[in-house]
Amino acid sequence: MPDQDDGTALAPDRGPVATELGAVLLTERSLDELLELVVSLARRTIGGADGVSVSLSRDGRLLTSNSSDEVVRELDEVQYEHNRGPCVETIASGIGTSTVTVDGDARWPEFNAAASQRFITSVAGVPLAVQDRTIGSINLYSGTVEHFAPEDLEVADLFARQASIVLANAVAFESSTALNKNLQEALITREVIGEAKGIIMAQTHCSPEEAFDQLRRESQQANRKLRVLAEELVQSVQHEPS
Amino acid sequence: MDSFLQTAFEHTGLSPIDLWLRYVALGGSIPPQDLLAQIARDGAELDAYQRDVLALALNERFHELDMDTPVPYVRD
Repeated sequence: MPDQDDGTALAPDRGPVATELGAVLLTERSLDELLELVVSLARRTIGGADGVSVSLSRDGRLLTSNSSDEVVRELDEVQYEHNRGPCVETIASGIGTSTVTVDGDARWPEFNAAASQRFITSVAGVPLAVQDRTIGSINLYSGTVEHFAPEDLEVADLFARQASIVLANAVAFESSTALNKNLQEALITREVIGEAKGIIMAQTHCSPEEAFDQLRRESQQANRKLRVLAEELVQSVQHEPS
Repeated sequence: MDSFLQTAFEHTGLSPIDLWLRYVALGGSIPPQDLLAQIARDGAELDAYQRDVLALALNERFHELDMDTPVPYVRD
């Protein structure tokens, strides 16, 4: 971006920003670290942004996953609590809230009051979207400018687009990590139940299916999970340490 | 014709993959897509053991939710 000598905030070349985000190795960074990076980069590169936060929509609720400071987090929370405000609107509509001068906007009275108290002069929300679904927003708060310049909102928008891609991948990766863990637990349980069946088969000379029936009936009668009964049985046949 | 197993599954609030993981943990060996297809068809082609493992997975979940355990065991 060409330098401007009219004193407006300069946004450095967007290239390194996009590259830095895009180069994040998902296997080595947690989602939280990633969002911290988004927040700190946005604050450094978007003119007028004195505070930045990321709001995410999870299970139908909004939360601030990351913020550059507590003031910004509190102002996000005010919006969530009353379900209205520039960032809430950004997420609901999927459209970037064009910069809002805090003073005198009648749409969000609670937010305006809270923001004024904290000397915030303008706010902008930029949507984070994945496959046409708005999953959150990058929220820009300023205590210095009355409105964010169009070129700064452009930078924010570019930023949000990059962040959305990486976020989508990170979220997908995290859910596969959860699956990995759940699968591992299921396989461990399966093995223990198999061992228990084997023990019953050896003790009673029955088939594997009959061993399962026995465990299942016992668990029904005792009102306990079959897995727990199996664990106890397997424990009970092992030698005590001498 | 509605599938009883399908209705039961829907009442558990479990995602398909979560149900399958519970079923596998209890000793089931049918892959997830096939299991879901069988549930939709009320388990007509499931052998008795696989069907009972599924029944147990569903019933244990109902028990967690403090609900009645309605799925019968075919091997009883």
